Amino acid sequence: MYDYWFTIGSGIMDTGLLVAINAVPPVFNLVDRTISETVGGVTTTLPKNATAGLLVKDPTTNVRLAIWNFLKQSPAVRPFPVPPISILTAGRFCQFLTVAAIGYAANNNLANQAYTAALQGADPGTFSPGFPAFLGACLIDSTLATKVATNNLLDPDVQTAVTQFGIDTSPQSNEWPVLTRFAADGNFVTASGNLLNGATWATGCLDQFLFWVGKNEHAIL
Amino acid sequence: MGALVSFAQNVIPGRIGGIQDRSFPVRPVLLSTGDPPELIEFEQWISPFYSRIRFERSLLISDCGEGSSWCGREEFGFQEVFKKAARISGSSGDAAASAWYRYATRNPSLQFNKAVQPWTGAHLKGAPFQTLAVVNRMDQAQWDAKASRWTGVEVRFVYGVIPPESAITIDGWNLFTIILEFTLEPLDWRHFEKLAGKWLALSETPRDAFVDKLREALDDSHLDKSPLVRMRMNRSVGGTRWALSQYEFTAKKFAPAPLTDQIAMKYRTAAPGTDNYKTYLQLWIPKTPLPAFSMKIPIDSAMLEESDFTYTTETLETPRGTCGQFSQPQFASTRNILALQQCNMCHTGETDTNFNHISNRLRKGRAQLSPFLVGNTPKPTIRQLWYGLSDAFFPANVHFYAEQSPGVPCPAASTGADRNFHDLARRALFLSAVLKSPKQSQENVNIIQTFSTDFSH
Repeated sequence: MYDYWFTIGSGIMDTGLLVAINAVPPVFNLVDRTISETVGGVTTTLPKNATAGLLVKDPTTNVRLAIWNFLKQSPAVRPFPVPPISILTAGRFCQFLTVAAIGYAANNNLANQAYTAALQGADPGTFSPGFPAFLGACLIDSTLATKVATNNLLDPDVQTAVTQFGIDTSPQSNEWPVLTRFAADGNFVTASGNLLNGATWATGCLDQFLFWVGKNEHAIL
Repeated sequence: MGALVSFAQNVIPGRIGGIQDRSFPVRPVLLSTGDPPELIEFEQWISPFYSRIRFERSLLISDCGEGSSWCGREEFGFQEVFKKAARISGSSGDAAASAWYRYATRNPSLQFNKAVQPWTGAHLKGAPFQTLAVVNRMDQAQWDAKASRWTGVEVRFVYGVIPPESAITIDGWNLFTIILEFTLEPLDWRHFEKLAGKWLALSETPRDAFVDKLREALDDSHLDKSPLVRMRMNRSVGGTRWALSQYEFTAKKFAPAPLTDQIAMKYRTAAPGTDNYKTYLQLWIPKTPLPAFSMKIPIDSAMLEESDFTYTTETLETPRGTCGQFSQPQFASTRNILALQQCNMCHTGETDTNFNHISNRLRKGRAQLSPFLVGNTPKPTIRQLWYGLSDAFFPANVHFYAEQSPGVPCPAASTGADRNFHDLARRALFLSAVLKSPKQSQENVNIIQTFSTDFSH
């Protein structure tokens, strides 16, 4: 999952990533998928997800390679240690960039505007290695992002997140203020709202750092 | 009566040092000695009314969907009730709706327009909201001894944005509820008693006469004379990021208002030594003792969060730099009250609630009520309430966080505690106590107020 958050964050920092993925091009075949869950003898059928689909081996693999290659050469991202990219990450981006209803590119652009505004002259080259992943996690984890926006370092969830991602929150930190401004920015709130209240995660979700009640229960197949 | 007062003031529902924190205490069941006499006495005293109250009829009416006798009626619907609120402010429904739409779209990132589309606020007609519930909040009454009146009684109407016909779950932009809270003009003892009787009557009314009886209770509330109507929105603006907004209808005015009891974040996160920090600490250690029947901790209006406050799930931590001090048991009640009287925490971590106490519903369904409201059983017995038995209550575990400085936790910083909620049971005890106390007296005030609350929710 770390590589997934890292890739999302990198796309926010350098929107050229999406251009590189689109050049592959990504393939994602929409299907009707119905999931039934039987608990204690009671069967519940989850709502169909309008953005569910099937991956195709070669295009997905090529997207995986394209992501890593792009991140290694992007001036914005290459100062950070780029993790290996998984099929899950490549598959998600195949979905994001081919299902028009998700509007990922437009929302990524909004998030990029929020990031650019939040920098206020700070040099990302001086940020911690976990910075892009933290940025990406914020986009698809609204609990984390909302807590970051309030700048409440007393919050135990924030404490856990900054510790595990290795984010510097000391008074001298120049990355924490960027993250709080980013998470509070109107363009970011719009982008995050569009994505999270859209169809992608209507059925369930496995993408968060902090538990999303009602969604993360269904995270594991 | 001595045992009753002891029970009422010290046991149910958690009054500590003159402050109520809405949680029922747990008491050991002593099989060897049997039930204590004060429980037996209290049960005998309150049961004649408590046993008659159907919570879903007299306290929180939410049986919408197919077959509902009242829910689909226009008179209880959003547009009619909104119009009633608008009239209080001297405005037409259309004018107030347009003003509301303008206010609500001031912050485009919260996408109010998207949630209510295709409605554009030009007229009230078409505002896409369906009825979820009518709520009796007599339990918010406070006795004004000088005026000999009960103040703060409320009747609430809850609505949700209408989901698409095809929806099979409530999700995304449809996680949107609105509440219209009519504060009634002060009531004398007789009127208060009579109104309680009207709400009780709803429990015992045949189905075909229910609407008439509901209308009677509302008519007797004189909603058109309300000095204040709060309208509050609570909605998902992206996953678990939610927005709270408040508007108020008062005589000749409709406008956005600060969120009642919601402390602005800048106070909670203030660094020790700053003015905001000192102001915040005053809430934890007031300079002057709270009045005897005060339940909430008064928060200066200058400290309140503005309308359109975004939030996510959280609990209240003890103030930074107070290691040890607020971990002491006498501050538990202070923390619990400060936490629960704030909208964002009452709707999330402090009650283990998923943002809504009354959720939106599908067109043919009914709203889900939170475990904070309904506990683990629809109607607990007095014995269950006395002992705080876990089969009756919904336990929400809260922690007391403390941090000496950024990133430096206090030694032994966190202690956990279960809080036992069944708020409808508390409201039923209140209604029962009112009905058992027909004569105006300070003793009766004391008993009745034991079960009341003055929190905003």
